[in-house]
Amino acid sequence: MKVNIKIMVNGDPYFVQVSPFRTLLDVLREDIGLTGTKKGCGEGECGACTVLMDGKPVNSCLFLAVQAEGKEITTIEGLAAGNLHPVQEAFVAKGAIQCGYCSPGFILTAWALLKTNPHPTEEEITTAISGNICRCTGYQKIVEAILDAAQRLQGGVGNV
Amino acid sequence: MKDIAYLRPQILQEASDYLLAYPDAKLLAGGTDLILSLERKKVTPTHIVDLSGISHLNQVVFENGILRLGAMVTIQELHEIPIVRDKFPDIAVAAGHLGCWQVRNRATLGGNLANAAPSAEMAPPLIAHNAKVKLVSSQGERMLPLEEFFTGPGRTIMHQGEVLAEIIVPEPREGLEMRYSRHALRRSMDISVVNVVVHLQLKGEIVIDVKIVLGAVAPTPIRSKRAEEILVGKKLDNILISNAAQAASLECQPITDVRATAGYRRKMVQVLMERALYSFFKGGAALES
Repeated sequence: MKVNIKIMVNGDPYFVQVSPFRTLLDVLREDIGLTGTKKGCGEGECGACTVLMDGKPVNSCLFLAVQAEGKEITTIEGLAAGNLHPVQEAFVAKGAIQCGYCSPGFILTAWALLKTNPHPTEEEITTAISGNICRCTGYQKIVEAILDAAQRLQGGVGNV
Repeated sequence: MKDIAYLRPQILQEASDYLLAYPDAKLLAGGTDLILSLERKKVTPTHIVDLSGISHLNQVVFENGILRLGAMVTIQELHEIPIVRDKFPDIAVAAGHLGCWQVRNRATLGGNLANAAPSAEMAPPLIAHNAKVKLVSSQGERMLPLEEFFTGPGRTIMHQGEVLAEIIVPEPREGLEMRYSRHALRRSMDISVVNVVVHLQLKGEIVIDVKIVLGAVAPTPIRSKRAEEILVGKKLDNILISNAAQAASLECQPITDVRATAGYRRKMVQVLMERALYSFFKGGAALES
C-alpha cells in the first residue's frame, strides 16, 4: 500500500507517493533529491539526518514520511538564500568543519537554537547539540562557531 | 520490509476499532521507538495506526488544580511548558533527560509510558504525583492510577483495543518538595541506570509525608514503600536517611545488563536516595548537591 502525501520542504510543495514505513530521510534524499541531509546511524543516535520540522530539530531517520504531511520541513538546502547563511559562515570562519558529514545536522540544530535563544551560553549550546555527533572530534570549534553565529545574527562581528 | 497499511483515524474510538479489527496493528505516536523496531524487524505490524490525526491528544490543560496531558504531548513540551516547570518541576527535569533535543521533539508522553520500558524516564515522577491514566476504547473508557499501569518490561494493563489517551496529574500540595535524580553513564542520549524520585514534606524536622519511586531497577517502575515507612512520622536525621536509603536499595530488584550490574544499580539507588534525602535536611552540615 502506498500513500499519496504532500510535503512542504524549504517552502516548496512536493507530491510524493510513499510506502508508510519509509522514513522522511529516505524520501528527502531518494525521491526529492535533496541529498544535503545525511544518513549516519539510521537509529536516531548521531543527528546527521537532522532537519527542522516547523522550526524544531528532529531526526529524519526516526520520522515516517507520512508524518510530515502538513508540516514545514527545512533542510540544509533551505537555509541559505543565495549566499551562505550566517550560521554556515560562522562554521566556515571557525574551522568547525572537517569531513563535513555531520555539518548539515549541526548547522540546523544550531540555527533552531539561535532562533529561540539568540544569546546561548556554552552550556546551553552543548546541551542543544548533544544529539549531534562529530567523529572528527571538532566539538570545541563547533561551540565557538555557534557563539560566533549568535554574534553574526545580531549584526555584529564580520571578521571574515 | 513487507507491505504495511497506513491508517490515520480522526477520533479515538476509530483507533480502537482498528486495533480490534487488526490484532497485529501498531499505534504510531512520535515514532522514535516504533521506527527503530520496524527497522530492526523487532515488530512486523500489518497496519500502522497513526494517532496524529486525533487533534485533542496533544492538548495540555491546567484547571481546578488538575493537569491534563494528552498522550501525544511531546517530551520537549513537558520540558518547556511553564505550568509544568512551575508546579511539577520534577516532571520537567525528567523530560529534559530523555534522549536529545531531536528525539524529545518527536517522542510523546503516551509513547514513553505505553512502551513500558523499566527505565521509562517519565514514569517515576508521574507515579510520585499520583498521576492517573485514561484508557479509551470503542467499548468505553476507564481511569486507573499510573502506578498500576505497568505489569512488566514492555507490558501494561491495557487490553487489546485500548488506547492511552490522557495522563491526569493533581497539583502537589503546598509545602511538598520534589527531587528527581538519575544516574546514567553519559549525560545525554543514554538510558538511565537508576532513577530516583522523592516527594517529601517536612513539618519542622519531622517527615509528615513521603513518596519514593525508583526507575530502571525492577521489571517496572516501583514505589519503595519500605523506605517510605521508615521515614514517615520521624525526625529527618543522618541515621534515618541512611536506613531509608538502605531499605530502598534492598527493596529494588535490579538486573544486570549492558549498562550496569545489579549490584551497582543497588548501590546507586542507595547513593541517589541519600543525596536526595540530604537535600531536604536543612539543619545538617552534610548537604550534598
